[in-house]
Amino acid sequence: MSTSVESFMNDVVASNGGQSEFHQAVHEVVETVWPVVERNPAYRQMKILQRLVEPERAIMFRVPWVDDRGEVHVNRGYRIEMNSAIGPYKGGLRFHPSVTLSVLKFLAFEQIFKNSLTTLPLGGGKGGSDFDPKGKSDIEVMRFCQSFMSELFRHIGPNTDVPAGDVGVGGREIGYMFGTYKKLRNEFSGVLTGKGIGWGGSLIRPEATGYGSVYFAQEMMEAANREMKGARALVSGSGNVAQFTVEKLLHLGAKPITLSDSAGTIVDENGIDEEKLAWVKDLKNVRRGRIREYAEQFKGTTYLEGQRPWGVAAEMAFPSAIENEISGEDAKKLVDNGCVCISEGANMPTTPDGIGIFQQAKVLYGPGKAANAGGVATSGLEMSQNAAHLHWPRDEVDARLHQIMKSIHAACVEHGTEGDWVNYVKGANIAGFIKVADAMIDQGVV
Amino acid sequence: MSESQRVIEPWHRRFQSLMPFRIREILLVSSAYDAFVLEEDGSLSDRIFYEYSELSLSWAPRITHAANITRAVELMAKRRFDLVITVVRVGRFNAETVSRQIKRKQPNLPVVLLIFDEADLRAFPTGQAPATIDHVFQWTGHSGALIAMIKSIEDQRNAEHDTAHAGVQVILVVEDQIRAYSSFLSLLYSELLTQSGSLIAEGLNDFHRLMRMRARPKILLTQDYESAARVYDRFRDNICALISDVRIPQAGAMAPEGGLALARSIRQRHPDMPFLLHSAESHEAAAQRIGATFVNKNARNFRGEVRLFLTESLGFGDFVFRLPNRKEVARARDVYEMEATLPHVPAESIRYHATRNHFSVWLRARSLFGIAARIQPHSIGDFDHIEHLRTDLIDVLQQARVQEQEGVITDLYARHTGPENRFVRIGRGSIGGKGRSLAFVSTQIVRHSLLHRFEGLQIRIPKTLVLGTDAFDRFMDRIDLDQLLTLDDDQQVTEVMQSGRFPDLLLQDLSQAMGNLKGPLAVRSSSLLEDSRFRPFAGVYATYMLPNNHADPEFRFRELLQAIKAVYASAFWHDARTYLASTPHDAHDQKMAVVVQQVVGQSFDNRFYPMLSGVAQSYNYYPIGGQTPDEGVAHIALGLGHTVVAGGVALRFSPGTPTVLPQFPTATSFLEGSQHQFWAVDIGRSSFDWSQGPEASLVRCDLSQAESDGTLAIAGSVYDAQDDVIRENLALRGPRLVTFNNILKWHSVPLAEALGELLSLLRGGIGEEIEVEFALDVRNPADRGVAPDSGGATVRLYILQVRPMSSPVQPRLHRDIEEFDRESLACRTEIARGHGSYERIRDIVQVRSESLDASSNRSFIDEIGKLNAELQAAGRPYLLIGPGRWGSSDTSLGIGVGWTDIAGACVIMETPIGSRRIEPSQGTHFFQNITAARIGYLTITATSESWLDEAWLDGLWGGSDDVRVRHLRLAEPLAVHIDGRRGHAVVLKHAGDCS
Repeated sequence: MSTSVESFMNDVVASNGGQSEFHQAVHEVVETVWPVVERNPAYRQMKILQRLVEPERAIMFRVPWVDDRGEVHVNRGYRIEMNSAIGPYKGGLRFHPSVTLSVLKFLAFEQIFKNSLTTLPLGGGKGGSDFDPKGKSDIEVMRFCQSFMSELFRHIGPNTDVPAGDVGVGGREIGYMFGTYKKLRNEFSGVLTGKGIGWGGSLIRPEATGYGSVYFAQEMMEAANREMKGARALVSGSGNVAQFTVEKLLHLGAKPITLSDSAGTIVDENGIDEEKLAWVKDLKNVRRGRIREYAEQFKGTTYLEGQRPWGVAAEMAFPSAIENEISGEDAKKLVDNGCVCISEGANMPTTPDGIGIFQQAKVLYGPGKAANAGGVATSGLEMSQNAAHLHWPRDEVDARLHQIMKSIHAACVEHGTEGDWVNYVKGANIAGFIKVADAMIDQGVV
Repeated sequence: MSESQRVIEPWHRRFQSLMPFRIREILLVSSAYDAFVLEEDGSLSDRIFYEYSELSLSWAPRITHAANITRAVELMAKRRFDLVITVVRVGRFNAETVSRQIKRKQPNLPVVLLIFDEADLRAFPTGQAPATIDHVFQWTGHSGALIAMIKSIEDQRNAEHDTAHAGVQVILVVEDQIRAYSSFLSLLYSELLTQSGSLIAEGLNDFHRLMRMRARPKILLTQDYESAARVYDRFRDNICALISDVRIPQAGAMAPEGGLALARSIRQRHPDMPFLLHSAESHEAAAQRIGATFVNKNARNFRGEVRLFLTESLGFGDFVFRLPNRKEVARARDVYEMEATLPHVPAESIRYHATRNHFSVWLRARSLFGIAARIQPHSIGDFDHIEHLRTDLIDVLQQARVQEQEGVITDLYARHTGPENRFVRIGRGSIGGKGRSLAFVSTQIVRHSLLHRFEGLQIRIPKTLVLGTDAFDRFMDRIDLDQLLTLDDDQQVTEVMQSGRFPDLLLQDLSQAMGNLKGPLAVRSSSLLEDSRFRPFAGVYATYMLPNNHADPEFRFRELLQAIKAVYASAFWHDARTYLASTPHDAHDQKMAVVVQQVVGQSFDNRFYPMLSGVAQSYNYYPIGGQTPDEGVAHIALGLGHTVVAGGVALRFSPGTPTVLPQFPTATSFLEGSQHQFWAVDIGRSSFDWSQGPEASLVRCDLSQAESDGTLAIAGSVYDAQDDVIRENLALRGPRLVTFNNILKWHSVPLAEALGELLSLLRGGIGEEIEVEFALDVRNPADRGVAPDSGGATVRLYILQVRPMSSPVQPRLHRDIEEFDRESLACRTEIARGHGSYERIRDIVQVRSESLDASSNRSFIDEIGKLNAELQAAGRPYLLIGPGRWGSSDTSLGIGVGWTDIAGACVIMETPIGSRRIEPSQGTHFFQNITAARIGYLTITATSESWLDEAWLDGLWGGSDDVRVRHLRLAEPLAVHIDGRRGHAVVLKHAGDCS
């Protein structure tokens, strides 16, 4: 029986030699939840942590395929079925040369808690191959996907394991794999998510992350008795997440005033309205110009060359661009300028220094694992629609997304409340864990 | 279809082997491109033909090409050759090996080495041509050098016989510098043969003049005082003139006035012999005292002076229709006048000339081999009535002219040039690098039946008009070149050139020819130095796009003249002069032809552009995935090729694997990195501001315009954000992407297949890796996009130009780069361009990756340019290191330096921008110049196989971290070794480590 994080980790390292990525992921989670495990003898007795770090099943298989010149190649395929305590295994497939058993175990392990946090019945899994789609023709990618699925099909199913896309696996690859599964099983089912709208996919996928982060912010503000309507909001980035963040902010009456790209930030004190947002979508998605042009197009806008939005005074901030875009210094500026709510649409946009400053200031800080769970949530909603043989209209998917974000927020509040302040980081970490741990206890030692 | 079935022999070859004369069989051991230069360049064809075909009963020398020594030896075993021409390097062997093997087989067979640069002789251990080489000539960028070479050898061999038997006269020439005599002999023979050519034409009607032609003077070249004296002694009674450099070797040393001494010596025995002395220095007075004509070598009218010296009463003539009693009844200056005159000429005159074969001989003299060949078999016996002969002659002239204008250079005869002419030349002289390459492509299209080789795709060249270099010479005769060269400002240079005037006759020809060119025109330079075999000047000179849409033809013509003058002016712009300074040439060597092409494309509202344009290279130095190096690589973009050549966003693919797009592994990657704007000719205006440069007449357009034009239907796709896929259906909402999926993936046009075949054919023809600029025109593009098999679309692939990718002569690689310890290395990469060892590099100019800032790209360029100028002036080649793509016009991809900003670098290195891997800058003029100048080109990808020891560089830097462009001076030189065969390279921290 491990008596400390260190001794537990020693055991993990000993039994998973050479899997440094996996070791690191386990260490980060265990460190967070160790106090919870310490306080709960059932978790210790039932060896929840020991069982969590051991995949329920790790499938490794040969993926031979023939290139356009007739040459045979062999790649290695994987599916890590990590945990099915709360639902069928769910997690992406990654096609990238960096894929190894260690990397996928790391990702699958994290996926358990991400999925759990959505409050949907989704277990944790991950898979993929060291195949590199770069430099391959469509037909080669198709042949690879067909070969990959010709083995994987026997391990997955709509009630067993439902893979999705990830790095190197987009709509094209999902289509090829779904087609092969359908042929081999002779069934049309929701075995994969990320499918085309016309054949089992769900609406709202592109919007989900941006919308979700705003919904999460809305919940945080309401819980803190703050008014979102009319609140000035800083949005970084100008891509997909940023655009839909602005769109939902407008729906909810907030006043988005910034957008950015790698060259600089525009600040529109008059607010970015629907018409301006449509112009930005055209600029970025069609003309693919720089955000600087916004300042040339709309009077009263200033352009901050080479700067991020975080020095601008506002009540809310939605980092929606890249990792580490909010440094400790930026976080301080935000807090000093009266920002009370930060909801992360991007993945890990705030540096550890920055998180520390937010937590010290006790502002509403919604970490990405909770605030940008909208993307995972729509995968769950796609499964639900497939199971029910329904295709929900846009509003219904949006409403259910809204509901999921509310549930995630509630779970965070439940496990993260510290006096009159909610530590959403702690809440998110623990909520995901406890749900799975409890389910494992409920289902016995299996 | 087999290769033998596909290849169509050019018509002129079929007739070349009929009547041997003088050097009848030439074996050219070199690439096929040299063979083409010998056989197809306009001026050369004329002169060879006048000399051989007309005088010697319809016979021209046959040039047989061997691409390697093995083939050469095989041919020699089967056939007799009179001359072998080779170049410094033929495949893996140098000329010494080639000539040695030839001499081993036939010791008396003369072997000529054609060099491209006097530095080429350094390829031989002694720095001199080996003993197995009989003559060395330098390629001066002018085809006349080749015929001068042939004639010179013939004259040397024939002089003894001809003088003894017919009293033929001799011009004694003394010149020791290879470059100088190559150039000078070219000039002399050019003048002599032009005059001889005139005699031939008149000789058809005058036997006595023909006899005079046969007795044309021989030119005997000697290279020093003593040998000149020996020749003089030997041919004393036949020497009609002495032409000598003033500074010539004498008694084993250079005698500054050796030429004068020689002239004085001869003058004593030949009081009336004309002398022409020339020098870059002033010797007028001394020359005058001897009774010699003196010409300054740098004089603007040098050629004219030489011409004057040689000319007595020579002319070049018309076809004179005569009756049997020799009475003149009509006259035709050219084939078109012949066609027009024939219906009206008395029957007996036609009979008179036909029975004497005058028609075919006269046509042959004008390189109209195809027409001549069809006329020749006829005789009077073939016809019941003389009128049948007349009709047949006219028909043959008409049909053959139309048929043979595909694939041949047609001289402009201003009054009769028809609209069917695809490649028309105005004026004499060379047609320059671009012109020649287009002519070559044109012949290959015919030879390999490319026009209809691919179903649904025609391959051809755009309608092209070339203004020969003589036009440039005549234009420059009226410009004070020395004064022009004192001007530093390009704008001033242009203004001076704009004030120049063309001769009236040329204006008439040009005006007539322009009538056959419709729509926007591209006016390009075709310098002899540009795109030449070893030193491409790609992109150094200007290209102008003329809308050519004004209602007034006079106005359009004036615009054309202005554009031509602007192109001429670009030969003397700062960049061109800077580039020239790095070559063996100087401004006086400039000879520029101008290519005027119809721009490929269609008009849409105020825009005119092709479906796509691109650059394809026969060798892919950056193969990824299933790509292989030999299948080449292409970059294509919607609209004009300005996008591609300026280094903008284009789509890169290999013709062998067109569906592999490493740039775009995912659907979203198209969103991030594909083309979203394109260039077109602005046909909404009729004139433009010349000071704005070549882009003034272009307009940048958005994809929405391409969509409304219908061109996006074939070039574009839609990103479906909901499904994260790309769909070829513009009816869908979503971002428009230029993917060319309809072409590359769904094969609505066999572009990749055609490019693959073209690259292979042209590589084989030119004998080295090549680069092709092309444009695709699709009529009714919307039909094509929606229904690939639609019969409504006409698709044409136009070849705009071809040039060699790089120099075959690279620095030598001294070491196996795999043998160095990692500790001794500052860098290693498996993506390297170039080949050889670059040692004794004592300077590094480095831009650190984190310093890159798109907004201040301009200041980086200025700083680098300044350092470059200093280092170049100090003669210190340096290593340039920086993030992203050098020379990119997209500031987010790298620093947009121009060629002159980095011309002093001997190796350039591209490092990653953060985690981004930027595609190397292949396919641009910038890249072309880098490879031509033999600059090493390394790409770092920050992997275990490709890394740069930045800590080592940081350790060398003693300055502030704020300095963005670092100049590191090394105490000990470093070395860069590039193994071009494997594409690997290392940078050795201390060059001494490899000794």
